Amino acid sequence: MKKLFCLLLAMLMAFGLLAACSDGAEDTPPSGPQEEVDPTPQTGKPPEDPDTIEIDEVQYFNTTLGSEPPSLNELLDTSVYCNTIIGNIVEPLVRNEYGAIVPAGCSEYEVSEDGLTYTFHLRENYWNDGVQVTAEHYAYTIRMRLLPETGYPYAADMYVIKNGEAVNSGEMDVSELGVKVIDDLTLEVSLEYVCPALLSTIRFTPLRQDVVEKWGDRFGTEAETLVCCGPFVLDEWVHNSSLTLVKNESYWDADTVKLQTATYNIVLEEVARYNMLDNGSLDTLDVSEQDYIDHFSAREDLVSRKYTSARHHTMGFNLSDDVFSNRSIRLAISLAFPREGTSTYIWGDLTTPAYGYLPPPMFENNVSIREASGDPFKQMIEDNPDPQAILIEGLKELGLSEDPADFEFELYVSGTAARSHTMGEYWQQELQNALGCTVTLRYDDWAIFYDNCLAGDFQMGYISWGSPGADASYLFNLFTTSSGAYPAFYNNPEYDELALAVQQEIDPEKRLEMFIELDNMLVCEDVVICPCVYAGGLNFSYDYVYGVDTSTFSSAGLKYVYTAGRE
Amino acid sequence: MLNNQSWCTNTEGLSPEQFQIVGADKESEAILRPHITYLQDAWRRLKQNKLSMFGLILLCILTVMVIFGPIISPYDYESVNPAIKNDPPSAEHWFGTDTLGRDYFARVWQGGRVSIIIGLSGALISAVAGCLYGGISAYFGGRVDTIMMRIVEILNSVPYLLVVILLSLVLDSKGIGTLLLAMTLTGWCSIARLVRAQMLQIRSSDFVLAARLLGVRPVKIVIQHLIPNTFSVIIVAVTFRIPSYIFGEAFLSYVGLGVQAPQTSWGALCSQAQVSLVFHPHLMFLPAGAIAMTMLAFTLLGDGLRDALDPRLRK
Amino acid sequence: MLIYILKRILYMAMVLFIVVSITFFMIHNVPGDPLTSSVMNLPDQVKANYYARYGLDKPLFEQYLRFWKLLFTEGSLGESIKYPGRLVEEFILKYSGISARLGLISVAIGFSVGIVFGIVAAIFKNKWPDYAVMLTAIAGITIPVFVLAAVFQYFFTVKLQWFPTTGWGTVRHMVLPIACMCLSPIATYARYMRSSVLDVLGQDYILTAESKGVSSFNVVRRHVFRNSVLPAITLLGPSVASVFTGSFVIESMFAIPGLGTYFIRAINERDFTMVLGMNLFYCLLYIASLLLVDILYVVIDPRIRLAASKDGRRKKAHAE
Repeated sequence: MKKLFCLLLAMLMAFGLLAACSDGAEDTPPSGPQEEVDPTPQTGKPPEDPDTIEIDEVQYFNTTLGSEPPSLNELLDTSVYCNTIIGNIVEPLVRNEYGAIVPAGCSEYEVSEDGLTYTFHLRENYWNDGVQVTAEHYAYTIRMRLLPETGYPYAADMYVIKNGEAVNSGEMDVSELGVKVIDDLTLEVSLEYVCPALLSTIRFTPLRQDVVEKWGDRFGTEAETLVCCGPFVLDEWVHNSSLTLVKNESYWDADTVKLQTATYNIVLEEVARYNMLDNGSLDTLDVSEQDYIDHFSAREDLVSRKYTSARHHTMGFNLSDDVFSNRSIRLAISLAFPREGTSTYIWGDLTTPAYGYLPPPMFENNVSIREASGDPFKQMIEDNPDPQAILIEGLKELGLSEDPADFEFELYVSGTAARSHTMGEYWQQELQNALGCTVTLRYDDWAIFYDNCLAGDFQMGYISWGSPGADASYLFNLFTTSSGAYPAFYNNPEYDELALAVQQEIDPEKRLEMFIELDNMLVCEDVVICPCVYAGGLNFSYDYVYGVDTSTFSSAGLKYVYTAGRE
Repeated sequence: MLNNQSWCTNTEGLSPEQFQIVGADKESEAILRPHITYLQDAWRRLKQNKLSMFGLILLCILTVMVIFGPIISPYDYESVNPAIKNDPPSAEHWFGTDTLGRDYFARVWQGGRVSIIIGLSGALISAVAGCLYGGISAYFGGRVDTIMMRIVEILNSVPYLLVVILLSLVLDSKGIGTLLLAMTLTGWCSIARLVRAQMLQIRSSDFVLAARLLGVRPVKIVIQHLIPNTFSVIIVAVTFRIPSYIFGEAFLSYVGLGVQAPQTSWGALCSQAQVSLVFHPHLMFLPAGAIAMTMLAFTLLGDGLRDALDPRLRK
Repeated sequence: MLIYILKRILYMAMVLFIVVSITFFMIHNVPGDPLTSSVMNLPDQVKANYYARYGLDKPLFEQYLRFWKLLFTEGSLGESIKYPGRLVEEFILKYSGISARLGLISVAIGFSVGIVFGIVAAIFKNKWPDYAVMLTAIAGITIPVFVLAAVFQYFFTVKLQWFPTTGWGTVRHMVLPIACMCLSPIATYARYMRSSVLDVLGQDYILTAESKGVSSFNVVRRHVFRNSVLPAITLLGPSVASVFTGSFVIESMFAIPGLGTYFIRAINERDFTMVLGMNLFYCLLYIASLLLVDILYVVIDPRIRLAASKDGRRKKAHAE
């Protein structure tokens, strides 16, 4: 059931539905790059054979992009919007299609026995200006990402490349980087340490040095500054309104690509997007409003698909706060939290109530870590039917008045859209009812919210985080003392040690155990967070749309999409 | 009877004998009508205006409902009951229920408390400030006008959103006072400009000149002579300010300055109803209708007041 | 008058300078910066590289000086931080035109219809045209534009399918946005106009004109309009200035590539250069429009005098 496709994940994030517990498309999701990588060694299901269906003569596809891509220069912009477009117009070495890593820009690749050297053999592929794609183009991207002058935001992810960190900090010359162009069609990449997940965590895309230098700062700001070697060519970019892609005839696999035109519409207003799906201006859309879900479900020509994404919504406790440093207080709130209600009433069952930290689509050793853990927090809820008693216990420990009515705490919500308000007001009521204390609400826009959280100026904040890739260790690293990206002010040497150890562990079975242990520490033992819901969504597409890759971390883009039977 | 006889130059053939003193007729000089002041007269004329009285009654009804509405409702405005969310108006819930199943009747009237206070006091504060500022600027003209108008330009040019964000951080209080301050901070500027324009037009009128020659103090000239002559524009401005303050409050919740939950307001109700507008129009049109009713009441009252206060229409 | 205008232009430069300075220090004092969310999980070295790329590692005052230096030496407002590689003036030149096309049409419609409505309402005071105009005005001012946009879009693009839902390019794309945007100006101008026309109708010179036998149409055209249009002109100036910066609600509802969505998002995302540049642009238009309005006052109403020197002389003459 982990069927969702990267594009929709992308759009969903963008819509602010998943974005950072936050207030809409204008916010930057607080997660890492939305790279599409697959955690699950699913068997790659081949796309349905278009030959068996009569496909439409005119092939076009209209979809949405949550926000204007700040730039299409991937060295400067790591937003999900940029990645979505780039994935369609340039050809990475490998793609994640239908749940498996398949060669794309390369025809095959070899990994050395020690796992430290990757050799890629490139296909014969051409840019749309006629220049052949060479190994140098791929090597140039890697070098540029690590050059300190570039300021590539996710340079740290590239430190797996040999000497990557030294080059990025300016200690070593870029020529010493572990990237070697053997010949025009052969690229060799050496690693600093063994990394089995390399191809699913880093996207190796080509860039043309001559084009980048020709346009300088303006590279990636307009359609005409880009050259394309992917399934599509960026034909027109009306900033803040739409991006139009047309089929790339010089693409190596052009026969597979059926769409002649694909349009990404940038429509910031939610209601406007629903209207567009309603009258057929869009072929597919993620819908999050209950009323519209009912409306679209009643239509026979729309097919719905529900999915869970690799993103959680949590309530983070500030462990450095005088009151919230007490575990019993945190536990009481976490036990009393209305998970089922939040999922049902606020999200219309599009999300799943969360009883742990890691979202369900995170896999290790071929099993969902979530399922393997067995959710011990559920047992805790059963064992402690009276959270108010625990709250009183906590108040006693703190030497405060034992009457819960005297206890007051603040719930901090980022985002000021209607949904954030409704959500906050719902929690306020339910927590007050369950605990008998007073809950106050505070709203701020995302930038101020996150600033205040990092400064420790909050008690309990609503924070959402998505996993950019397959590896679960990313989500756990947010809590280490050295990272502190998740503002919980958690400081547990045991946790730090385990989080570090799991990164270097190769045995998948041991990793699975360690992940479960880490999850357990956050949710049950130390109650650093109060799990709320796992993000999910509902997609509606017209029934004439075929070939969309719906796997969790797919990077197929629109390559295989076509329509059949459009009126 | 005429004490000035110079209009008639032909006095030949008239002799003093033909004239006799008849004495002053004190009766005919007496003022029979009771003496009424300007304001009393305005009130009298306002009372005669049926439409204005209708506006006044409407306003009274709204005020009563806002005070007693939440009490009349058998339901609490803040308790949620998601099992009955988005119900249309019915016998049980007169205005239906909202997205969390809260009674909308109680919520609309509860929200009106904040909205009416904000709308009214905001409009009055900016009207008073705008009148004085615009009046002084126009009366003195020249350098004073130049400097005062440049200040208005600066105030209006600094991004409002930024000002409010900073204000909310500096003041660190979410009270209604902070809210009003944030809203009136630049709200008076347009009234000031309107008043100034009107006064530039009448500044050189004869009655102003007369007052000035008589040595009336400038502030008194502005308040007593100039401002009453711009009332018609001010009244329209004030009635227009009311809804803009009501909606402005909802906008301020964007930076955390709006009313704090579980409190609500008409503006907040409207913006929460936005997404489901097509499916649950009652969630939008009830609070929006309440705002429109308030506006209607003030417009009718304003129109009547305008006629009543207009010195030229005084007969 | 010429000296007065020249003086005003000098003041304009001063106001611009003050506003930009205030805005600069304000935006830099609001918590959060444009890169916070991108850099939160990065090693210090990378963070420093990233900040250096946008010149944000320099002391605040140096950044302030750099802004003016760039403006005067290169005539540039700088590179947007949020949209790397794109210059702020490029945004302004390209997209303000789109916003302005929509905005100017709606202000023009709003102004002319509003004026006519206002005059009609005043002439037929307390008769049905007056009430109709009043109710229209109340609807126009109390129905928020987002409601109007949502309702129009639903009926005309989903139910009736007369117009495209979103996008930009043809006249058909402009109909609904303009319809949404002109209602509020119609309401505003109609109400102000009604009120000031009533003032003028009570004046003696109207009575004189009527008793002279001037036709009522000519009375309105020659005497009423000119004497009552002042408040409308006062409001027109700033609203013309603000159409260039566009409407956030309308542009995000109809996916119009104007300037409207950029400014609020620039503030939310703390895109310093973008906020400064766009604010400078708005401020320039705004104060220029006020100057124009002041000049229009004199053209329309000879009783109004602005220049201090003349005024002083007049005062002296009276004193003698």
